[in-house]
Amino acid sequence: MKHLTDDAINEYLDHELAEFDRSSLELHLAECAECTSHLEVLQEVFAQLSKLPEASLSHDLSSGILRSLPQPHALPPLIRLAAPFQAVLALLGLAITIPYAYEKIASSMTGIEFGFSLQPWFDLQMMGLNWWIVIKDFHLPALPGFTGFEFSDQILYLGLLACSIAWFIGNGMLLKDTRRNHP
Amino acid sequence: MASPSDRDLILRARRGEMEAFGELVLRFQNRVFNVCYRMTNERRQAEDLTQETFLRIHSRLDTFNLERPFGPWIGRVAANVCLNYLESVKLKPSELDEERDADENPSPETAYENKEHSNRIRIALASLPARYRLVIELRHFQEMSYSEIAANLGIQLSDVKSDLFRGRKMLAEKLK
Repeated sequence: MKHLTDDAINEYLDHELAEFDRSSLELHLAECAECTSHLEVLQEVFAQLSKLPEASLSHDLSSGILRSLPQPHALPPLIRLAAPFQAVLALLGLAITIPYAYEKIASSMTGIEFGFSLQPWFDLQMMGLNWWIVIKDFHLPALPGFTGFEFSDQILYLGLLACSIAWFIGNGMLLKDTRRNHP
Repeated sequence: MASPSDRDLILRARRGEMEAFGELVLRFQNRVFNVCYRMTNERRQAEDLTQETFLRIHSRLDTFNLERPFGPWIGRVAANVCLNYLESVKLKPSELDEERDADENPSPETAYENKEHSNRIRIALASLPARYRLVIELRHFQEMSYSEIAANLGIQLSDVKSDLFRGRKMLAEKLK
């Protein structure tokens, strides 16, 4: 009689044999004491492993584990203010450009009623322009050896350029930080 | 209030909430510790490996498939961490770990028998080559199929069977 292989007995106990193979193996086991004995030895190993009790930790490891974790890198406060600052700039940009855009569209599409008024935008823009005129007309008191300082359109453009650069740097740092903390 | 599910905690931990990850550690530290203890039979070492396992879990949390249960996944991670450790130090078969396993208030006689019994199995397990220990851990305690073990370890199905069957044979001889 041909005996069962180790593989077949192991796979039988692991429920990894197909139903047909299981049935033929069980038929063989019913007739073969040697293979049955082999099976029982392995069954005993299974039983011993399943009886191994769970051990308990002697102390809570969670606080030590949390201390060992890499701490999230905190951004400098100035950079954290970048987002609201950019939002304010964007709103200002909208306030300045929307009336121009409205006028442009309205002039190219004569006869079309938009059904809403942009008067509040014009008022807001006018207020901004008035402020700009006030600022432009403001002169710092002249000091000995200092000729004073005048606001000009160039100053406005330079300011906008500086804001754009700050925007790029701020977003770059935010992106870098996000990638580092969530790779 | 119902405690948050594992899934909720994982999502919060992924967003960087330390408290959520701490809760996951509390829930699973004993499970991970048991994997490490079975693999090493050294309580102190098992605690260190438990810590290492959670650090690895934290760094790989984004790769976890939320549709699957968390417990088996961390069991597999723990087993892999232990295998790396065992292969790096080429441990000699462990000596008897004198610290007692936790039983639910057994009588002194039963406690002694249980302790002897579990120590015999632990020592027999620890005397196996690390590869055999790993497949026995994954098959018997993490309840993975042959193909799952092969996929998890990146080895051939035939190697899984060969390691598992040889490991069991050695274990049977040591437990006689």
